[in-house]
Amino acid sequence: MVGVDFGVQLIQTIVFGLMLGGVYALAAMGLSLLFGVANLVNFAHGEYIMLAMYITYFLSISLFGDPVLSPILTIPIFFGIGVLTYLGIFKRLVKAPPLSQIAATVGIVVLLRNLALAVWAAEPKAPPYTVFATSVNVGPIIIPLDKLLATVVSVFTLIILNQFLEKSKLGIAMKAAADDVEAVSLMGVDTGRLFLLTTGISMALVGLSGSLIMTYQAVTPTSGLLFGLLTWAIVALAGLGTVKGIFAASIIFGLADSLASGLWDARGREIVLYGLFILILWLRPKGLFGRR
Amino acid sequence: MAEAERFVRKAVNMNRNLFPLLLAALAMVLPFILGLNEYYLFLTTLILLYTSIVVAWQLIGGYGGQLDLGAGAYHGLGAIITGYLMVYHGISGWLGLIVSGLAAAGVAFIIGYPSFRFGIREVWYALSSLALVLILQKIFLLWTDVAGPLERYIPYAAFDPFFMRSGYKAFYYYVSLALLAATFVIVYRVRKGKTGLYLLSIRENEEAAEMLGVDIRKYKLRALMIYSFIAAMTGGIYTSMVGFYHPTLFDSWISIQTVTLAIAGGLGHFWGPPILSVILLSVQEYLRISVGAVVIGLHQVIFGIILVLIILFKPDGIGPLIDSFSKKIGLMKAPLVSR
Amino acid sequence: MKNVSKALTRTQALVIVAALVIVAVVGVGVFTVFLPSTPSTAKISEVRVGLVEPLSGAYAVFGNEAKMAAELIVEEINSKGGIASLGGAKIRLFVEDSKSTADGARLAAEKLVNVDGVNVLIGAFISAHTLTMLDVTEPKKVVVMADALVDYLTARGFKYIVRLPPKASVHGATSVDFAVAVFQQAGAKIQRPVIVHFDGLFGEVTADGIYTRLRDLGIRPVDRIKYPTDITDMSPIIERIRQANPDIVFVVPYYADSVLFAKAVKSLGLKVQFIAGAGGTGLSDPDSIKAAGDATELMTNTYSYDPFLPTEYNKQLVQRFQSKYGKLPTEAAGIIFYTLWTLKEALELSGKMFPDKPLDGDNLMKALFELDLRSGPAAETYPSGRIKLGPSGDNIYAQAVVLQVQGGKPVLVYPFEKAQTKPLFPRP
Repeated sequence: MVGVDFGVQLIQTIVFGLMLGGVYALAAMGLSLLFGVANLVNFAHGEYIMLAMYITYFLSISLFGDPVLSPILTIPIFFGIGVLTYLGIFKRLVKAPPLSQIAATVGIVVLLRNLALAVWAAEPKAPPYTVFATSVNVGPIIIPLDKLLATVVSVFTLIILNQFLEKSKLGIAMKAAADDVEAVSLMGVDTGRLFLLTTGISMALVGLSGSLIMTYQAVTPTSGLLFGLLTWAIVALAGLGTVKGIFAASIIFGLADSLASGLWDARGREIVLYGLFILILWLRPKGLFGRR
Repeated sequence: MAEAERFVRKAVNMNRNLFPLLLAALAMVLPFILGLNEYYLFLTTLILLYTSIVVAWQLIGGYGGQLDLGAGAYHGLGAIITGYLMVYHGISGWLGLIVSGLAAAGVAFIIGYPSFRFGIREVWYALSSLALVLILQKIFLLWTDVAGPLERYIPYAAFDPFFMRSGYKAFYYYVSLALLAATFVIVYRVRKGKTGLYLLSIRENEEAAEMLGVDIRKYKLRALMIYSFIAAMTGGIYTSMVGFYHPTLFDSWISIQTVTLAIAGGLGHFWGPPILSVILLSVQEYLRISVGAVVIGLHQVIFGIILVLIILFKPDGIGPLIDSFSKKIGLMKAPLVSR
Repeated sequence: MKNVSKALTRTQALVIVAALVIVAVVGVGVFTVFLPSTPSTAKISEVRVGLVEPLSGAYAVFGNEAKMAAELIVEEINSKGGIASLGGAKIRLFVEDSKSTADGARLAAEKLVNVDGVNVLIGAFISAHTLTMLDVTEPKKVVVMADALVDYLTARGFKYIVRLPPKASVHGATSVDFAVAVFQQAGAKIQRPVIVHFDGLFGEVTADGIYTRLRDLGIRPVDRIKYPTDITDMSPIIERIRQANPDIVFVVPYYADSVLFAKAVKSLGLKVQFIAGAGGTGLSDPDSIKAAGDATELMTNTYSYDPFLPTEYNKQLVQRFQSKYGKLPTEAAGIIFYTLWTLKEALELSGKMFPDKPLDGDNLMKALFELDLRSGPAAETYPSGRIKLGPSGDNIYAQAVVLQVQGGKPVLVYPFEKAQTKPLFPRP
């Protein structure tokens, strides 16, 4: 009897983990693009996700009534934020040493985190109501529809992004820049414009993933810390490569997250996630699937 | 008036050691200027403690070139170990400071050795040191024999200097002041010694330094361990002053604050970071009391904007400004630490 | 120039520094010994009352409600002539934010005691935060009136602390007694309870209260699940509850986690006959109901204050609170209501008993222990209708009540003799 129960719980936990991983992939993809293509270290990536979650929260309670609709606005808003961030800050940092990039983006961390604190206060803002906040049963396994939706949208977006990077002219230029910026610039591509667009796309992905995460999770001003480290950990595991690499790494972290909090202790998940991160850095500094 | 001015000018010209001396004298009598008000002493003591971390951070960050975000981890270790020894074993805080400093240096070694061995650098080093803060916080949250989710309280004592517990904040003020002074001396000596030279060469060009036969790992590790020792001591003093400890003392904010102040003050500059630290932390406290009470967090938004602006427009921090200013008024004949 | 610069050698510098240290240390000693204690003024024009509450951070909902209540009551006391026995002295309220952290509460207490010079300190809603303030208040003999519930607040040997609301263990036990009675009325018995709580001090102590009462009744919980205070995703917790297959879930939440919990129960379709909260925070207060929508329907929680208490003063006060702030006062506001009124009574008494030094900490404590309130605003807002402090500083006649969410509104369902309606059971 215990065996059967445990089996069900294990499968249930794995299902949760797969869905988490699907969403994490989208959150990490923006970071990977920016780091890979423009070689920009954005330490504040998690804080931007946090901001996207707050904006989703704000839009849902004031305008849509349902966070599912919010990507209509968060994607363009965050593309705009990306463009502004690039013009205001990143542009000066592209050629700067990594230490300066980290320092400046840590400044953004301080700024955004406290801005959120000033505007939304520190208490967690719970996800606004979505019509998908219900679940279906598949035998003994429960599938929450809000998470399922987030996962499906995320995977679908990644497939499109993959096509974009493989097929479109801009996408190919971005991929090429990830390999060798000098060569791309010699071939007559305007790298400034390329980096600008990359930052915009990266942030648009952040906007979407923030909206998706917000359909089932609460946000606090310190949420950025969690997502920042988590997405960097995914990029570390994936190496700077492909959409597929990011996806595989995200699934691994999603599973680790879910198994740690489901089977061990909800308070221990950070130990597992970040411990895994440090181990990856030590043992596979180039990542599992990376080219660099 | 002219007489006084002449005297000051003369005094300033007298000796460049006079500047730190004047500073020390001011710091000595500051509690009395504050009328021994416990609240203001509490705030100034906090500033001294955080400034000590900033100064010590120069070893690993400023000279070693590693953007370490582990300050919160070492500070927290100091707080919890010192507190634990005081609460559960009745061991004096003085001994606790040493023990926790050694423990922090040990953790720094365990984390630092493989990191430097496997060549973890730049953003990856920064991230792994930040992860350390959160991992330790959660470990001590689950480790209920030592800490756990409940605050642990150090027994109250009106004044027990041997146990390092005092109801009068002036006690902690002078302890923190002594720690800051010691940190200055240590950092100065390391900088002037062989380790400092090697560290700087690593920061300038790690590959070149390695090819010249500098044992990179050894010097980085040494810097990391000294810095973690000092950060742990600040945690111990802090926890004894507030009278309790809790895993939230593993605070990533301390890491971020330390790094931003050190960089905005001038990476590797001797006086820039502490001066900026004292000024900005005081401003922050003032803002916290004034605007922070109206809009929560606004004071730190201002703090964040200042930092981003400094880093964008003065990437070298305010250190060089201080050099040229002090040269102008004749405080120093040459910058104390050339870059 | 050269000569002068040599004048100050290292030895001399050291001597100067050493001298300064000695002067400073001796100075501190002299100052602390001979520092004049606060002079007793003949005429008292105001009583300074400090209020430390979490106005921002995770518990801001409660802190702000407490602040509203305090401002309302202080205004009422002052407009009715202040403290009569102190020549009509007014109460002046100093509010500080604890930021929902222990450090913040500590800093706030430091400021209120050392800068604002308050005579009495009320706070800090969170027990752990209240404890950190006692180091500051005790040596200065500032009386603390706690609005936090953890049992041992009043049992750590501190002299200048009292607490009127029921202790956390009382909340836990009340929750169990209520649930047992509800099951009995439906002809059922609790067999498989699960206890779920956040892992802070208050969560632990209240859950211990639940556990102890269950054990005394011969019921063994099948699981006890802890979650971190800053949890953002409840689904692993709900999954573990589901695996335990309970007939009732006892839960000790705070505010935000209670909203997450209720929503996760609903969206994951957790089937359990009853969900009973304990500890007065979250689930069935108006703010939680608003934030969680219909997810909290039929959930209950225990409270230190009964907004539906049918006394004349309480009805009128609740109405005034509602018209001013647009919501029903519950836990945080209620505790402040009777705490401030009790303080007022104590001040009146102290003014009569100790006309020379009515605000002295020792005298005020004597007056507080002397009180036995069975009428007046304090008694009329207290669930049991009587306030008399026992030797530990806790109210001997402490009582908690249970509110259930019915039709999106909190209603009183326990104790049964005071209840507005019958509790609804089981959950659909």
